[in-house]
Amino acid sequence: MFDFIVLIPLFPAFGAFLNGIYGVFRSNWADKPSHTIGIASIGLAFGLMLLLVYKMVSVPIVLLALVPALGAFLAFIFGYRWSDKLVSIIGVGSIGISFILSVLAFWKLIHLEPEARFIEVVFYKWMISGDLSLDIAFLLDPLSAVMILVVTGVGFLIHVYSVGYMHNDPSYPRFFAYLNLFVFFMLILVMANNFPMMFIGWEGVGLCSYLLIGFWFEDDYNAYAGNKAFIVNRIGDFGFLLGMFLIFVTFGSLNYKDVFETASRVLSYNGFTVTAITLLLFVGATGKSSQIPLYVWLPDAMAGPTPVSALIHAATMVTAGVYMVARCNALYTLAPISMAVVATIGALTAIFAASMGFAQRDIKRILAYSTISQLGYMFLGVGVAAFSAGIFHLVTHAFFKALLFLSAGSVIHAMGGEQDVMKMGGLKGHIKKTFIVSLVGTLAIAGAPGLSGFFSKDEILWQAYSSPYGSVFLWAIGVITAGMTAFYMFRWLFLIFFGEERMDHETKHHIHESPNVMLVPLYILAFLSIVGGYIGIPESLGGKNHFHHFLEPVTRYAYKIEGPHYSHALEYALMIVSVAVAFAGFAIAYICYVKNPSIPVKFAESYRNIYRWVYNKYFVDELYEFLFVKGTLNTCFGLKAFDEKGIDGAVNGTGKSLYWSSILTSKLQTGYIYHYVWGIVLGLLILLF
Amino acid sequence: MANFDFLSISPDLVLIAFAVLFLLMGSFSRTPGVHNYNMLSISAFSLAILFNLLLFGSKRFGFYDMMLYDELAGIFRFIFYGIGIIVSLMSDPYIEGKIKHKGEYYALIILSIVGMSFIATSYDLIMLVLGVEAMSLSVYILAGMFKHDEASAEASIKYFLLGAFSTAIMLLGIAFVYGTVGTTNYSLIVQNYNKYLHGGIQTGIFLFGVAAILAGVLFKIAAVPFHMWTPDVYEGAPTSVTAFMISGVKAASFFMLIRVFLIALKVAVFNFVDIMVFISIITMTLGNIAALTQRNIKRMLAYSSIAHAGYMLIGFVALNKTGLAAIVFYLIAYALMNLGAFAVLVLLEEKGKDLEHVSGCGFLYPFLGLMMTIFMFSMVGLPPTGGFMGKFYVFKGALEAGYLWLVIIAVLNSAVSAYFYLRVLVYMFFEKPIDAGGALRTSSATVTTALVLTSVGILFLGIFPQFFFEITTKYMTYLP
Amino acid sequence: MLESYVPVLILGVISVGFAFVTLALSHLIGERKPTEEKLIPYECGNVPIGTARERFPVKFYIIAMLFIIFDVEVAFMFPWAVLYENLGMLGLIEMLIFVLILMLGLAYVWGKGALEWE
Repeated sequence: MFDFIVLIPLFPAFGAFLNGIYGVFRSNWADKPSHTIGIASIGLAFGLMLLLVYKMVSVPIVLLALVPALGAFLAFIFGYRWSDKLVSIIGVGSIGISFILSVLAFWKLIHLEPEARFIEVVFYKWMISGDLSLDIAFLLDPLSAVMILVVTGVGFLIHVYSVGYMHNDPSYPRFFAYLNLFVFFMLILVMANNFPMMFIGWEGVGLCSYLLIGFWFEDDYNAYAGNKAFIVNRIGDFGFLLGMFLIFVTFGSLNYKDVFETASRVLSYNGFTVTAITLLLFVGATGKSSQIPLYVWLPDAMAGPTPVSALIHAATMVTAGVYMVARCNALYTLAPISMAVVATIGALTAIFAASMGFAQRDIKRILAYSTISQLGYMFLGVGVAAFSAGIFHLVTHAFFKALLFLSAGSVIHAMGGEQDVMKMGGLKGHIKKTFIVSLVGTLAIAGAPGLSGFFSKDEILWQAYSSPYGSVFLWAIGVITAGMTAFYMFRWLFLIFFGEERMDHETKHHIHESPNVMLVPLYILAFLSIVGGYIGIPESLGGKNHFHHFLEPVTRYAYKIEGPHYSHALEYALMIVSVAVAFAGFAIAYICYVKNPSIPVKFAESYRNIYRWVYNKYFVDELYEFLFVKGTLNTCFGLKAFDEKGIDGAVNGTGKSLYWSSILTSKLQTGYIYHYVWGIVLGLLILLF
Repeated sequence: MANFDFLSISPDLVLIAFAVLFLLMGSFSRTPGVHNYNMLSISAFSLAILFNLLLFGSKRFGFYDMMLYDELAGIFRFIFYGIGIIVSLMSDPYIEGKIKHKGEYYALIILSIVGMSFIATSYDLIMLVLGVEAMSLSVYILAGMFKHDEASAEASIKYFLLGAFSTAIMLLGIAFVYGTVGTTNYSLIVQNYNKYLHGGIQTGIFLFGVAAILAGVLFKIAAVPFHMWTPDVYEGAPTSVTAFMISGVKAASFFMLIRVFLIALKVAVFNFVDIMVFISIITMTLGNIAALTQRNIKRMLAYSSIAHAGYMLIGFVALNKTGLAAIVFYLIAYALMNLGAFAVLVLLEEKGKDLEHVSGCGFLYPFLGLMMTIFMFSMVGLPPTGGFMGKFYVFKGALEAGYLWLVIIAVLNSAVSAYFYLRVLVYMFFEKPIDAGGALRTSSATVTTALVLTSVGILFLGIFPQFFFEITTKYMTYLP
Repeated sequence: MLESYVPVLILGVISVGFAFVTLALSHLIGERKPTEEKLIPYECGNVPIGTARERFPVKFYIIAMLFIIFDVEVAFMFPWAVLYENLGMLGLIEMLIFVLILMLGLAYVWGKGALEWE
């Protein structure tokens, strides 16, 4: 019944495959015969894939999958030249189908009993090696259902947006191939039912992120940013891998089900092993979700095209760490130390990144620091065992951060590529539609009551205060961060849309609103940013908190501690405090950037050092450069000397001796038949004795 | 006893009919050039595969018990016919204009494959020799098919003389075996051996016969020191024929080894395990080392085929189910990657045969470059290719049999081999293209089909290895 | 069983020994008076008209090969004819198939024009 969920990641993979092939061979396919051959081979490959799927899945679903493929195939056969239009149809269409299937899966899932909402679909027996038995299998439970909805839904909107945003790019098919591939890996990540498969997704999204950050690799800086993201992530992945090995050593299995079910029996509460496992996994999460100390790559990742920043570096990939922690709740709740580490790192990242957002000038970098900060919130949430709250914030954040990034993209589009907010201003009148959606996004992220950000953020703050893992300090940091968030987000908004027009005349002349293909996704996201919170209205406000109850079965293996109960009154009070702080942030921003724009300038002049400190992001990049990069390099140069003298000598010696023996053996080959016959006779003699 | 089971050889009868048709068409057709022999030959093989599919799963004796069709023989028929299809696909643009009558070429390929099929179904040493000769004679002629090319003629003569010599040795061995046990029938050999031979001089003579048969088989496999013909012949023969020899003849020879030594001569096989370990080691080592300095790609691949034979012999040395099934798996992967690599060479040969001549072709012809990358990776044994899984299973079999040190030597060997396989890619992608030759006719639809088939096959074997390995393990019923 | 090979062994020893002894004897005790006529190759009594190591037209070889094929066919037919009674119908069919294959070969050769001298 749920077998069709294997198709959800397969469609993006197919899209990536098609567009990738087209991107590579575009120039060679000008002539018709090779065009046809290429298409035929694609058809063949797809047929094979379908055959595989057919073996696992019921017939009607396969037919459904056949329809678009058949259409595309026929179009080629009858001489339809592959155009960028087709690229977008394939790119967007495959994600669209995935989204529809995800909705279907979700729909079927909520009609099951809550206890029955764990569906595992085995696609293929992957490998059996010793004790290790792994399937390519997909898990559909409330958590992954939410995640696939977010990934395919937001992903679909961003794909649509990209059609407009990237329309003149010479590498258009490559872009869609990468983007589809990313969605494929992201779906593998969230739908996996075992750790190695999750790791494949984990690495795959990292790869796609690298490819997309460096999408315009002609510019050295972009390639450098891609490298930085990749390398920093690699450090985190190292921890993740070690954690995975430790899980295998401890449990003898890597399947979620085996691990989580037996966790409370195999591991002792607050034991060394479980703490080590969870901390190592969390190292991976800090890399992927850009938390302290591995957050440094995300601001640079803004070198990629804006839809990429929206999809990968805001809505989906960077939340993988949060998802992972929530997925492993059975392990994390057994390790209170790790929980404290997660929550503390989350809170620190939240406030630290927010402060760095104060002085940035790049329209996307501000949003990047905001993303880091919001990710900190999510970790704060899962770190205090409020897993559903963390995921809730993940969902709402996906909506409003994607909205903000896409609006930023729309602004950049309007400004003809300008990204410095100091050279904008007063755009409110020129691009009204973009302004309205930006305002919605900003209000949502700032936590304006009634919008989605308010509910999710507030739930995290409340849990940070009330949960047995929480504390008043965590709450306080969270609230201060909320105020800071409001401040820098409104600063962002005001600098772009209000005040005097600081752009030069030429640019001003060309300002234009984006096409509908870009605006419609913005409207939808704005709508979601407004209403997205209503799936999880807390009970204190008279809601039912459907979201929390939906996710509850996921935490059934979690170790439960009874916390103290607090009254609703306290909850209201805290809520009011946070709203008030957020409003204060808004008010300061309003005063500084709309009422009296000279204040920030004066501030920067009188507290030059602080300003410089913040503007340069506390010199963390430089510190890392000095400590790790230089240190590593120096060690490497030392090793290199040893390597060249000692190891290379030995290796080259081996190689040389092989080479000489090769020449010697070639000499044996005289070419005379009677010599060869002697060889045979010799062999016969060897056999006889 | 006169069980004339024509059904069991029906695929071969179809093929023979087509071969005869090709020959007569060449003789009597007014316009011999216009016929699509390659398509005809593909349909012949497809028909044969169809017949074999109908037969598959049954076990039938035939022709006075000189033949036994069982599942493993069926699998090998599939392999041979598949090789036939791919060779037919890749040959046409290559032999165009170089061979006057293409029908003869395809007829010989078909007849040679019929010989292989007879080897696969043989249940009598006489039948085996018939199969071997049918296969070899056709290949001798095929190797010399380019009459005006000296290297081709040399290859043909060398292969013929040495092949005849080795067949003579093999026949001598068969004579000795017959002399001691009084029969050439596989099952009767075992029976009579157990009944009549109990040590002493007679067993010695029997073992001498077995050794001589083994020598003949090892010659076909190209194991050291019976390998001397390989580089010269593989280099000199037309490229498409080399592809055929390196995949088809090798597969048939390995099946001959498995079938004869695990059905008929299994009573004696353990006497030869030690020596086979030794032969396996020197075969792969010498093959790999000699390949290091080759500049001619075909010659390099010839040495590489020697090395691969060494790896496969490990599976034979292990003599357990995993090892033997692994040989079959390895053979499939090996045939696919060699056919693919030679299909690329078929197209690139216009430029020249040496490494320098393919310089820069990887970027000039990205499709060919990609394909060559897949095949070379598979030859080195890198995942996710069939070559990797083939090696993996062979080594696994050897480990199960306790040959840890043999596996270590083999792994070291494949590390050495990475150098010369990847060097091809280095030349294709990292060297400046040379001007000679001009543009290629890269858009040959049939060769492209062959490339796609082989590369998809390689990747399928690498990514879903269980599928084939389970089949081969299931039907690997010959055990000592 | 091995005993049955003893006559073969004896035959082998005798034949090798005979050849060796004759050659050795003629070498040892034969009188040698080489003349020009004695040293020329013996070609059934005819006087050679040139060196024997010269190139023949390839057509000779083709005809010779064809001859061998059909010669072998006949050589195969003799034992078959002797045992014809015992083989019965089966033997007849087998021989028909064999002849058919050779016929096909003949047709091929004919079609290729190998039977024409020019």
